[in-house]
Amino acid sequence: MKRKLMLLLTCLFVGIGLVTAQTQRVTGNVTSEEDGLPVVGASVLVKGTTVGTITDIDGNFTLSSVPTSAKVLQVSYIGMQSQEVAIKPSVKVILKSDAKALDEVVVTALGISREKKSLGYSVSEVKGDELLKSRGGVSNPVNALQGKVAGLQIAGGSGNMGGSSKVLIRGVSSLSGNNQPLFIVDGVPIEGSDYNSADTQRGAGGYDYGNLIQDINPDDIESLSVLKGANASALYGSRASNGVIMITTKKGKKGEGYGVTFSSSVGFEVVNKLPQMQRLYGGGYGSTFEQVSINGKVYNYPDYATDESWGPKYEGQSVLSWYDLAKWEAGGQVGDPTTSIWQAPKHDIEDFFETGVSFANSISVTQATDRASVRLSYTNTDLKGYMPNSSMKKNVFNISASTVSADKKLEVFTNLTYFNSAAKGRSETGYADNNVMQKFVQWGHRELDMTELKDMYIMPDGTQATWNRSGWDDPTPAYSNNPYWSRYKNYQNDTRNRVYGNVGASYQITNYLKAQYKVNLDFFVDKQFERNAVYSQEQSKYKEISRQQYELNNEFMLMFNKSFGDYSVTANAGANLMKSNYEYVLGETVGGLAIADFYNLKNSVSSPTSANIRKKRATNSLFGNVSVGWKSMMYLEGSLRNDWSSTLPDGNNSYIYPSVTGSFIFSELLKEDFEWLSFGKIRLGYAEVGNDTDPYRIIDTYTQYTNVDSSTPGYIMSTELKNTGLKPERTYSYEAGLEMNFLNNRLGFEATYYYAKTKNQIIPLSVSGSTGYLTRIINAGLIENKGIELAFHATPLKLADFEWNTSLTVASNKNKVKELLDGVDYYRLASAPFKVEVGARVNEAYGVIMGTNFVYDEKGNKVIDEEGNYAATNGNEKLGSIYPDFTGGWTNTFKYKNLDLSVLLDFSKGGKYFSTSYMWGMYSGMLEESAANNIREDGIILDGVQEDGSKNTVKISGQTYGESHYSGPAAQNVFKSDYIKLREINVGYSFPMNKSAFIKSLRLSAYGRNLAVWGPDTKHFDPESIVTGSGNVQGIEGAALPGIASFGFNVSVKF
Amino acid sequence: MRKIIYKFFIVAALSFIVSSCEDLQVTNVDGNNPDEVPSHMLMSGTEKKIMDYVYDNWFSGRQCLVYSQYWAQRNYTEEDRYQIRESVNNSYFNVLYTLIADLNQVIKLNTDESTANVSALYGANQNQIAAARILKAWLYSVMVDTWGSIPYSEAGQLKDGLYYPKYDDAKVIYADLIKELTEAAAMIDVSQKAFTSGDMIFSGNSAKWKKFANSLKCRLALHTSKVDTNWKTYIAEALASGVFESNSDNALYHYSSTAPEYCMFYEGFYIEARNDFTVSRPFMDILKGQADTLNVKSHPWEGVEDPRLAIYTGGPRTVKADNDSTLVGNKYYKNGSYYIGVPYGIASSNMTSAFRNIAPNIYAAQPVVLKDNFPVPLMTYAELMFIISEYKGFSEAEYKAGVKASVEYWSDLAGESVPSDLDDYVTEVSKNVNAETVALQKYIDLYMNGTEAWVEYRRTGYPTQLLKPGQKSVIIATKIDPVTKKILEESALTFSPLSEVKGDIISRVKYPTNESTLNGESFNAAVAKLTDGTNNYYTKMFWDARTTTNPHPANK
Repeated sequence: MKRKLMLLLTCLFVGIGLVTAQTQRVTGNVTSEEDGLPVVGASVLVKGTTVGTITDIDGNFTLSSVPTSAKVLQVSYIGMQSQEVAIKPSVKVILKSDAKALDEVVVTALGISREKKSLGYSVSEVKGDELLKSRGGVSNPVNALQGKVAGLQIAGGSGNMGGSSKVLIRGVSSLSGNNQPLFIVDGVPIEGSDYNSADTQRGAGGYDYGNLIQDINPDDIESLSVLKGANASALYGSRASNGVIMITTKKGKKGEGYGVTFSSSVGFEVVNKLPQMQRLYGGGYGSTFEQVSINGKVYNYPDYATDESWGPKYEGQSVLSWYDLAKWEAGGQVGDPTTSIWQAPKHDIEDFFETGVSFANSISVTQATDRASVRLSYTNTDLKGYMPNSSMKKNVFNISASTVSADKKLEVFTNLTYFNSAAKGRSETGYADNNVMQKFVQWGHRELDMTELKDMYIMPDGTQATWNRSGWDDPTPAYSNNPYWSRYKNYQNDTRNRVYGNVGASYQITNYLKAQYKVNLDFFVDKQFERNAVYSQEQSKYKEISRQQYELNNEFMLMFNKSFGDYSVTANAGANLMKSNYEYVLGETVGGLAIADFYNLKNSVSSPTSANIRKKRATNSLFGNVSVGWKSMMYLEGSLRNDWSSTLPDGNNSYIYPSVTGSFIFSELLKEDFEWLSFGKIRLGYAEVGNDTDPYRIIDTYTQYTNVDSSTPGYIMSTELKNTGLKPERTYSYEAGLEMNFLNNRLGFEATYYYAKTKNQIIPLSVSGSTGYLTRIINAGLIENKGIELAFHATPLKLADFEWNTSLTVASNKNKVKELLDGVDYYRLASAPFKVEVGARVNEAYGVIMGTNFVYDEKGNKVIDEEGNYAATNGNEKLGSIYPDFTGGWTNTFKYKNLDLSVLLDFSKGGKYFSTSYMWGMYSGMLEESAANNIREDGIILDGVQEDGSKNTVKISGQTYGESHYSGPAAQNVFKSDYIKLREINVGYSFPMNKSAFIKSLRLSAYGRNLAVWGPDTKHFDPESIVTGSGNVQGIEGAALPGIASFGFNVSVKF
Repeated sequence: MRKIIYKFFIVAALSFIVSSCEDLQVTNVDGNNPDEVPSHMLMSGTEKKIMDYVYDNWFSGRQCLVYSQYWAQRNYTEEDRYQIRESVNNSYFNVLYTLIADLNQVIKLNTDESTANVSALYGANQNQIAAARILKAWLYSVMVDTWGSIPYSEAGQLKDGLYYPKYDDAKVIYADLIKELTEAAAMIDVSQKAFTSGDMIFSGNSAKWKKFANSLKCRLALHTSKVDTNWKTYIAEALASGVFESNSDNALYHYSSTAPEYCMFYEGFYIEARNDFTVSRPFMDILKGQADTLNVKSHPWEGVEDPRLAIYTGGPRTVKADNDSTLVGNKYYKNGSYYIGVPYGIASSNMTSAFRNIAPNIYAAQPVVLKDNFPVPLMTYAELMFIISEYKGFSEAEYKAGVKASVEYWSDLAGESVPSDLDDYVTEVSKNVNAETVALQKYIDLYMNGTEAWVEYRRTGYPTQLLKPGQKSVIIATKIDPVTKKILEESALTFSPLSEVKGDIISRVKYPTNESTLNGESFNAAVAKLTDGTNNYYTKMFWDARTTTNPHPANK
């Protein structure tokens, strides 16, 4: 591969010719038609020669030796229409902007705008408007990219207010570390991960506070570039090894005058995907009720102390319900309690959820003059969630300003965002007592009516009333809170205040050399407040967590930009110092709360506990890159970076890595002969990226465990064995691409093939406890990713008033764990709370579900044991892979005059998930299948063979069958994650406006998102909505929140 | 001017960068967790975590306390019926081994030249080493008696690159534990403290650690009495070196009543607010001196109520029957106070509220075993007396001393005075001193020490009152005359395990599935050695010499 690149390099330099003739001197100035500002760096070329230059900071150029024979100058600049002008000693050129060409300019690493055609790697750009089309209040802005970029996988836990989205570019390369791409806003690296605990990610409880990337305001985004491969991101160092999402914010533009833009949207959220529950049998066990006698009258009393639904069939029996008892008790037990009818609930779990409503309003003002520009914006979003008692508010302020000195050499600039959010009533996730989905699907009674639960969740004396009574005369909750108690009394809230942005200055030393110094900051304080009220099933508690983090990047760069004849050279050299500091402080009451409904740490029955964690890291870097272009036809680019990381041991903490790419726009050679070929390019790239690890993985430590002897704190060893000999990780990647457009760009495609391998991965390897530890930090493994990305676009119809565009993206990533460590062939990522674990096995795809499987005989029949249940394997086997084989999206947009419509479908094929909800929902007789096909009345004979090979004839009861989903093989609860989703429909109308009128533009639009999902196993869950974290632990469903459809309306006005 | 600006700009930028440069190695020093701790602090944390994991509502509550039928679950009876939770089994196996590693580290801190001097500030080196070895032997014995053959000789050597420790034969491990205890007892210098502070078992008293080593040696020797001819020699050695002499020598772990340092049984009941367990019928009947008429089993001192009955169960349950009588199983109970245990080993669906409403509500009554500072028993003087009684061919003196010590110990724990008629009780239960009575009194004493009680059942087959699979747990009414309330039809609910146990009380816990992925080859080799080559519950321990023709080897 390297050799081929060298060949290409040599080719590039062949054909340098020297021109000697009579010459003249030509000077000139290039300005832009749109804003009248000088165009800096425009290319000026004497037609038919290699003589040329680029314009300086004032738009001036000088050509000192133009052959007198030359007649025409070609002036071109990216994003503008090229012009040919007659040669005169002094030339004035005004360039018009080129809407078509603009599309081809993309923002690349270090914030440098480049012509897309010049790049030797894959970049996809999405305009900011795309992110606004279906913003739906406060949802994670990243979710708006779903299905729009080939090779970008986004799984959003759609049901969770402000919840996490898993973002992946080209699959997983790191076994345990971060696989999320690096998000950069105007050069500022933004913390984008989440703080969800390992338990939350594996579906074992806790709140999903969402990944922090959602703090980016879509209203301020001008464009978003997805830099996919290591080549694209080599300049950002190790954190960019999973790709970079570069966000460029809107800036003040000259010529717009005092521009005011106002946009407003209203959005609605409704639950459209809930597990299918049975409606034939109520709670308890068995077909009869307990007889309870009050005041001499005998009542049927349902078995409320049991939180399962194997109880009596609904036959209109008269019962003494929990609601009857609660009302009777609230009234002082006067007279006889009322009775109720034993029947399927009139208001079932779907009635628990409300319609979420969100409002988003955004206003921006811009102004630009010759020497300064400024843009101010404010966005406010306000959401009432679909869960009772949930809300989220966000305020974002942004200022972007720059000013240049009179000689236009010194520029000072800043871009700052202040973000503030306050949320209340996020849902607990996973197997948790206050996650209502766990109570609705996994453990509970099926006859419960939501209006009754809502009516009586709190008694007049402030205590709780719940259906899950310990006895008819004992209202103490046995296992379950009333779901409304969970929502209204045991709620959490949280706030985040965040500032990110930069301040910098640049100095134009000569017209081709510029120095720039910039300080980038990302700082936030995040506070979480969690409550468990007095009279809850669990002990009352109040907990406060405060997190504070800053990351500071000091960056110095020298930038060089000059043409030498046909050659244009862009080069950068720089240094970066990264420092980050994370602090976590926890306070928690102990022994319960002394005073009900008073939430302060001092209100602790025993002394409250506290804990704090501090994490620091620093990376020093030097980097540089050179890009050489020839005749806008061939480009070669190379980069080199050296990092020194604090997280690696002395001696191993410095690592250097190069990248090189080349591209050849072959259509330039062919365009005269093949008119149908509008554009054609091939590109090749090779890159290495080094990577460090988390702090504190070198030296063994002890953990404080107890203060049982108050004079002597008790410690235990960390169960993780650290490693003093850690080496940096290294990824080697190759990429090749082909882009072609035909018939005046009416039809085209882009194809990319890539191969990447990562060596020396730093992972906490799970080991058998019998080794004395649970994990060991090792350098291990060779993990391989290869894949293709395809993007097609076409304009099948283009009439005067009507246009139809269609585009399809498909990406497939194959990933293989080639090696872990000598003699080690399995790496565990996490285990689900009850059954199965997710891990990586050598020579298989990353992320396999491991659990007990069905036992199959030689003919592939499932073996049934003597009792009639599925037999299970002794140990764990592979039950499926968690990642899809391919993903994609299909967008169709239609324009008729000022009316436009777009429809996006996206899809995912392959991959499995394990459902803890299905396991318990079957075990407890709640899910539809636990009462379908008369299995409760007739029993069921499982399809399979007995150990002797004979067909199974042993009948088991419906309940035994349901319970076997827990006691039997885990494989019974594994499902396919395939889906096709009607992701987005947008329809909009732009009113034709007079440019000089007060209102310059007005647009109305409506959207719908996540409107429908289809797939083989989507009966109970949306496979996408099982996500409860942005980390690597995926594929484990645990009381997932319901699927949500959202729709709404937008208005956008420009004054 | 321009040049000055530009020079200034570059110089300022570079100096800013240089001044921001950090010492990377300093940045990476973990300020959250120390890399060195004094040995007594490590011992203190390790002791506590071991107790937290062995004496809790999972390893004890849902395993050996229900296997030995002291407790039964009130709602979900799966574990009572031998359906264990994989995740719990995985986690306890792993955690107990990391605690072995912690004990090894205590030894290392007292052995390595670089740390031994510092460690000596917190107790004599050889005494600390001995205490760690003794506790390690105790913990390993619990683990071997739970799973059988487990990793031992190759365990805890990850630093040397040993990722897959092989499983050692349980018998070989036992022999080494005896040796460990002998050596540990021998190296203790009783004139010096073991730990200056932090030791919540013996408060650093090295003489007591020594007695514990020898007493534990007696216990392990007795376990092997049917398979190791040296067992009497071991006990003789231990007696010569010095064993428990009174209840004040008991090996108990002392929890604190200061939150959150309390006992895990308390934590499970009151912090997690789970009223999951109560006293089971077989144990209740043993305490009441009631023969099992359902399964025709006699009681050696029928009609004699145990003085520990109220202490263990929190007192009788008051039944409030609105219409003057309430139906529990196949009997009507009038308003009053009762000692009725819940049926053991029936399906959750059969565990109706009627059974729960008459069984002790230990959550509400909070007997001493559910107090926040309940000292969990590793081994008591009473147990040692029963061991010696058996060693001496079921001698009466030690048997009586054991019964007396046990009642005194439990009374003291409950804050009650010793029953005035204790001597009468001792006389009543001493009419016959034999394998059965010694085993039965030991069983009563071992309440809350489920690991050992379960061993003793498997070794001796006593108490015979414990239910075996298929035996009747309770009789319920299935048809009642609606007018006269007369029971027209009744049937028996039996103890019905959910896993194959070959007709006996569970013989071992399955190896965790965890091991099949993280230590696969060793796991497979160990499974292959089990009966039928499957990872099952019925493979007998090497010291379990019972056969169908000889179910009670303790008689021989």
